[in-house]
Amino acid sequence: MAPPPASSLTRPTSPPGPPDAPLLALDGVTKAFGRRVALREVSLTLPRRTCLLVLGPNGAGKTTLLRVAAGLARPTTGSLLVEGSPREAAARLRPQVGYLAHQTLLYEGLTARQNLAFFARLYGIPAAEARAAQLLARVGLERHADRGVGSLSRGMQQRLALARALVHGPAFLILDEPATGLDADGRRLLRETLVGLKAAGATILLAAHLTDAEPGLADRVAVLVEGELRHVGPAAGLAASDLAGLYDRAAGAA
Amino acid sequence: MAPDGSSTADPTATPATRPALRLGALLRKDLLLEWRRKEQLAAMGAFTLLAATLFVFAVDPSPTELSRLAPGALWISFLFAGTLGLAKTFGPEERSGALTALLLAPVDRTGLFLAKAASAAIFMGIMEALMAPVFFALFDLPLLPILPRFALVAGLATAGFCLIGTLVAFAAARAAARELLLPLLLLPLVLPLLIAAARTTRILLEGPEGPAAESLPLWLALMAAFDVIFGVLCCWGFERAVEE
Repeated sequence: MAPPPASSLTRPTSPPGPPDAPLLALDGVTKAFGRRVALREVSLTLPRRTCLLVLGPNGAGKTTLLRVAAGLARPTTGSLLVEGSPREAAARLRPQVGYLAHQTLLYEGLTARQNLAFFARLYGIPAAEARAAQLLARVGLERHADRGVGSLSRGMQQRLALARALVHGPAFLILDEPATGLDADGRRLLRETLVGLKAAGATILLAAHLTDAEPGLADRVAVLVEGELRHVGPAAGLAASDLAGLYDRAAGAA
Repeated sequence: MAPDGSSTADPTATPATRPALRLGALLRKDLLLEWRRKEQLAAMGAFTLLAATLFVFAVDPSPTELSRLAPGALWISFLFAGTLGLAKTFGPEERSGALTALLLAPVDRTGLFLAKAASAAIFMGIMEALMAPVFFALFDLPLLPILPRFALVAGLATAGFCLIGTLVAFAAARAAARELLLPLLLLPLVLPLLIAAARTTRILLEGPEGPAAESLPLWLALMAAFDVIFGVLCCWGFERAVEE
């Protein structure tokens, strides 16, 4: 499958703000749900046009971290800064975000085309049907455009979920285990899409299991265990085996 | 402007029209989902028909008795049927987490809430429009002479019920015992509306010479005030309820 032209999928315009301020910063963020603490004093920054890969076992807090980073969950303590400012950070951030979650975030009762056209209209995109058709072609689902989402396979739903996340040409992509359910072709499509988006200037926050991790895409890698950020460092030059060693050391650290 | 030349905002939309366009997109989506699945309308319609039939056969079939009972029976049936519909109103958002995608979109929380309440009110309004003539026919009561004023009463009752119901349905959708929680929380809250709707319907049926005819404007004003106050409170409550 040919790599999709990234320019048609993303809108890598620089958001307003000081040019040197990171797009996103978490400052001592703790997130608790009742007595369960999902994140503990997490601090990290995400400069524009970079990719941060977050690794961690099940239940490490990766999804919570991503929801806080997307402005969907409010930190219990600590703060979220967008372009260096905490003022209405979540509200300013949300429209910039393309979010691919565990769930597809799609309407099962609508067709693939109707889903994408609906989200395009919600983002105020003119010619919503044309945008839907363009994205369906990009993710290889044009022949399934008029099938109900509920009748698509898990892999097809994941491709459609990727198209939904890209519908408004987001400058900031948050991807939670995006390879879930994808076959070899789907994974290739995902990788090519992410490489293209990064080259076009998108900022990417990507959570993955070690087995699905793509160290070549990331600029930095973080390891999250039991809600604690155990490691943040550069990813340059790391092979998959290096990543495994780094992960084991961070996960085993008390 | 995207590098491919496509802009992400509708150039024909002014800042004032954009919220209306997005509200329209949300409403259209709910109508499309209901058109494909017919979950809410089927459940509400079947319940109302069954309830009306049972009421008619359960009481003394004398015209006086039926006429006295009709307003209460009508609105109890409508509100219980509406509760059935509301129980399914957030189903499409809950099934695959689409609410998260809605919360990320450039639509404010009040807009999301009002669109959901409006779609619930449209479905309930369709059910009422279809079932009210059947109900009045079964009770052998004249609907046509009071139709415009009855439509006003139904509109006020439905609006208030759907505003409160949408918020309660949202809260209940995240609970384990949602089927139990929704009526338990909702029905006490809408009791004043139920009383007012039944009372005004009875006044309408008694006609302009009825003993309570002059209190009709007061009842209508009370219903309108109820809708406005609870509408504002529910918008405020929804904004807080969606925060994690």
